Amino acid sequence: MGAVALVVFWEVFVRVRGVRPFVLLPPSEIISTFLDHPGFYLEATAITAWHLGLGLAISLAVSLVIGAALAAVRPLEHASQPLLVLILVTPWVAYINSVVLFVGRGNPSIIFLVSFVTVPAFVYAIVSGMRSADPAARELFASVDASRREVLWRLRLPSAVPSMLTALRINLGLGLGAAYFAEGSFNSVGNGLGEVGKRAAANNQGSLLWTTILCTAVLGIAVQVLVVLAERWLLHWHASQRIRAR
Amino acid sequence: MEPDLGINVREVSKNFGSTRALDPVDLDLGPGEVVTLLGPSGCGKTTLLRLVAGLERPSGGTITVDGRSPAEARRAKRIGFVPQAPALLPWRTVDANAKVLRDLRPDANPVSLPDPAALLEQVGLTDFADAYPHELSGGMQQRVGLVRAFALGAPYLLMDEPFAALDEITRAEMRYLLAELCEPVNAAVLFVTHSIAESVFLSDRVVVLSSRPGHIVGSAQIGLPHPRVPETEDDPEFFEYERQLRQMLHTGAGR
Repeated sequence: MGAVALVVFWEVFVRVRGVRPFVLLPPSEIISTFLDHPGFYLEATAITAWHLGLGLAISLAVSLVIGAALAAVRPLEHASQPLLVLILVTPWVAYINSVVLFVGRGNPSIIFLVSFVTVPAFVYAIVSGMRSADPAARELFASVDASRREVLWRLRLPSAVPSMLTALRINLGLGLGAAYFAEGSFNSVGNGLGEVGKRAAANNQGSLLWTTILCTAVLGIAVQVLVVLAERWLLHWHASQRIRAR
Repeated sequence: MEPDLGINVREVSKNFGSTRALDPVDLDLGPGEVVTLLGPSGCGKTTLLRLVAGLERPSGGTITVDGRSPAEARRAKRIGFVPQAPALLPWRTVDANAKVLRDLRPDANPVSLPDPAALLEQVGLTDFADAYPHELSGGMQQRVGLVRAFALGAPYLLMDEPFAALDEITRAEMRYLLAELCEPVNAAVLFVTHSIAESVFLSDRVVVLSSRPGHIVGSAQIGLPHPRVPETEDDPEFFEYERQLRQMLHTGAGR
């Protein structure tokens, strides 16, 4: 209901106020622009989705290793706080050129940036999630002298899954923004949404720009929906999923 | 009986920082014996149990389990531990939870293991084998906790006030159930409780501890017949034992 009302208001507002195409395009024109060349936009979306997905996968893998180490060694966790906060707050514009020089132009830089900015949220989630493992269960494991690997795999990591999925929701938005930005930072790389959008902005092509923006938003929504479905499947046992069942 | 079978506690004490939780105590538990540690809150009975389980290190004294240290006993999976809270893994079904102690370090499992399905049937949870912990009541979860410990097939069972969080009616049902579970099994049981009725019903011997710093006030041999059935609680001898223990507890409290 809310979405429909928004779309209607949007269309009417743009037409009545005579808003210029570059500033804001009415929804009807966005749809028609998309339908003129659907393949082009779908391909760009797929490229950006690929950058996002791979970047997040790498980030998750790295964060699991770091998170497990930090959860185990408290002094390490304290020592790492400044670095994690630094990564979170430093604007990407500031260091994207250094990233390109360090990692190489094109896909490696894009994926590196996505991974880099999403690591802190994952690490926080993994550390706090692992620490939230039931102490009575840990004692139970100790009573049969369970190995560290068993405790990690069978107790602490499963305990961390709820908070990791919450971090994923945040990181999807963050990562998509990083992907879009990084794609637009170089020329002639691969026609991801960010690159298309930047070109459109540079050339004052309002319809191209806004259609690209819409595709990006739809991609963002689609991956969020995927996470919600994943939560329902993976967390069926968790309190957070039980409230809606009533 | 060989001298180094069973649990032997000699002159064991425990301090937490500057607080003396447990004065030096001696305790023996023979194979197949059911011994209860009875005492008020804070008397160190849980501490003593945890020392025997190897979950804490004593500040003084020695503990041996079948002639070995508690750490070695844990490594050999000779100890089935039942914590006060059921501590079920919420992402595992009841059936999977019952098997979790067997699944850990499976190479150390004994050759013949009890059948978890049969144990679940004995506690009346067969219909809930595929349910998740959040679907069970507290009493049902603790029943899974008992099955989990018995499913290990270990010769020693250490239980830390497993029924403390349950209401009176459920507690009574649970102790009858526990007596049934222990009957065919030749495990030695060290059970911690503050309930006099539980200690008399379940044990061969009750050891009474005083308030902090805990020390042993006395012990009573419970000569009631086995198997223990609910009717045993109506026996005049039962009341006599309860009275005896209540006396000992008062003596301990008056310190």
